[in-house]
Amino acid sequence: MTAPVPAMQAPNSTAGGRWPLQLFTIAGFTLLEAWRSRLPWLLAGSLALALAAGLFAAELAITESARFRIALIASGVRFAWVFILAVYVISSLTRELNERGFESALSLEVTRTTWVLGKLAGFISLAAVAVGSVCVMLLIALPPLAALAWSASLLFELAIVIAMAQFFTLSLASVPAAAVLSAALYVLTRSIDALVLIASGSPLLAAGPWRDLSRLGTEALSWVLPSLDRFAQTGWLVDQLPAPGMLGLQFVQCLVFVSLLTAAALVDFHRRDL
Amino acid sequence: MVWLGGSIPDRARDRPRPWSAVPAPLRLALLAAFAGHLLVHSLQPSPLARATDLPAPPPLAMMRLAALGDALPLAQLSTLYLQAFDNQPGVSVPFADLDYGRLRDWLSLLLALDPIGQYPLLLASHVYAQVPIESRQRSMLDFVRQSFDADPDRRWRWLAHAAILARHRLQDTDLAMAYARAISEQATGPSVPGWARQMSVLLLADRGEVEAAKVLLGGLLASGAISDPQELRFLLERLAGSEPLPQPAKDGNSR
Repeated sequence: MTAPVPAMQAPNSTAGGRWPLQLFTIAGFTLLEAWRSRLPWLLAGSLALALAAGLFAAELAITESARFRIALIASGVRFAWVFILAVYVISSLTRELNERGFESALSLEVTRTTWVLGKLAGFISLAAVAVGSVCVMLLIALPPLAALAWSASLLFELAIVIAMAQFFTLSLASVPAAAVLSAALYVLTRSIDALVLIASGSPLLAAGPWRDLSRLGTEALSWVLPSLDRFAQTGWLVDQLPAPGMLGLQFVQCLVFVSLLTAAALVDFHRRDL
Repeated sequence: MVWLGGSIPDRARDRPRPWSAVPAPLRLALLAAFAGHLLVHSLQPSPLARATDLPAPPPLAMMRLAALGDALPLAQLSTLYLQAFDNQPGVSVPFADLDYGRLRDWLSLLLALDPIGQYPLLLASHVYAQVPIESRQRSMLDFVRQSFDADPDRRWRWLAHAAILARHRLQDTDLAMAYARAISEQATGPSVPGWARQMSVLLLADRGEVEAAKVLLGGLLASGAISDPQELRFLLERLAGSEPLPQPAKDGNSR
């Protein structure tokens, strides 16, 4: 039996100081991989499809056509990009793990932590480039504050989705399981507030122990999940700007939850015997 | 290319081999499978156009859950669904055949999902209130009246239109005056023009429906309340096509 590869590479006097450069290099190659995988075309294609759907819906509308157009384009882009980026993160990480690329990285004195953080930085940079492009488009048609606030919030949401997909892929090493769990967690984080309201006061649930249990369960879940339903609200683009401080709160929420998911992924990944 | 973490896709390697590389039996199998698919399709019966009744709307809580936290796009898509319900595949369902109780529930649901939007009120006052059945007209006008209370400064213009319908279609001056008084008393925001608050005077004047509608539309345009080009076109087309309207049936099935 061969001895397991140590979970953490032994610190090296030269490697210890090189990790920022290694991290940026991994992030850069992640972006290059995305470019060569034609991902930008897929993102641009989904944006074009959302544009076409929004324009078509606006033509059907008797009134508020501009509101219809903007709202449907924005929500279409958001859901399409969440799906595309999550699938891309899962497939990209799985391919690297299966093709032993990660192990060759370890042989170059790259630590597991640097590799995971570099990949995460690359994926989030990719999301930032995509969101930047849609932000420029929105700035042409909408007040700058509305476009910037919505775009920033969308980037926070995508960062959380990317961290979710990375966590499930590295922990489970199974594409179907990672995809299903990422989708389930995303839907749950977007609907947790509605679930809490339904469980606590809806006439749909009869009073009794089951209702109490539902209420406690959903409230407990809401404590450990970010409220993604408050991110990138379409109403910010067409009706009113977010309350002051909302974006700052969302940034902190994004930072904390991405850190939590990344830390969990690292703990799992360090314990894995390669 | 192999570097940190595996290979990076190479476009040169993605180029497909020529068609001649595919074995001939496989190409034949592909054609046969496609022909088989067409055959199966041709054996299936043609779809029958069948009108379905307007279903009851889902509960608000369920819609909020389905919206995944962003109710506005779902409200808009649901509005288009309701608006297009009279045009089902292969069948056109007259508005008068719709279940107006359910219709009102749908409109209330849409307003609850998107309280800032005005679309359900436009549908109620300009589309569904046009059927020549008095009970259904009254149902829609009542919906507009009830909704007005929740946000008078934003919804006054729909009640103004409802007042004109009440006066000239239903010949119910008392109802029209009640609506006009509601506007005067509740729509007190700076965006509400003075003439809207004085609608009772307009209603008392002995004018025809088209003239009254022109005055209302002119007032709306002057105050800048209508800025959407689609809505402006819709209202102008309606106005241009106005003719003496049939007297509403009390509860019949006339269309």
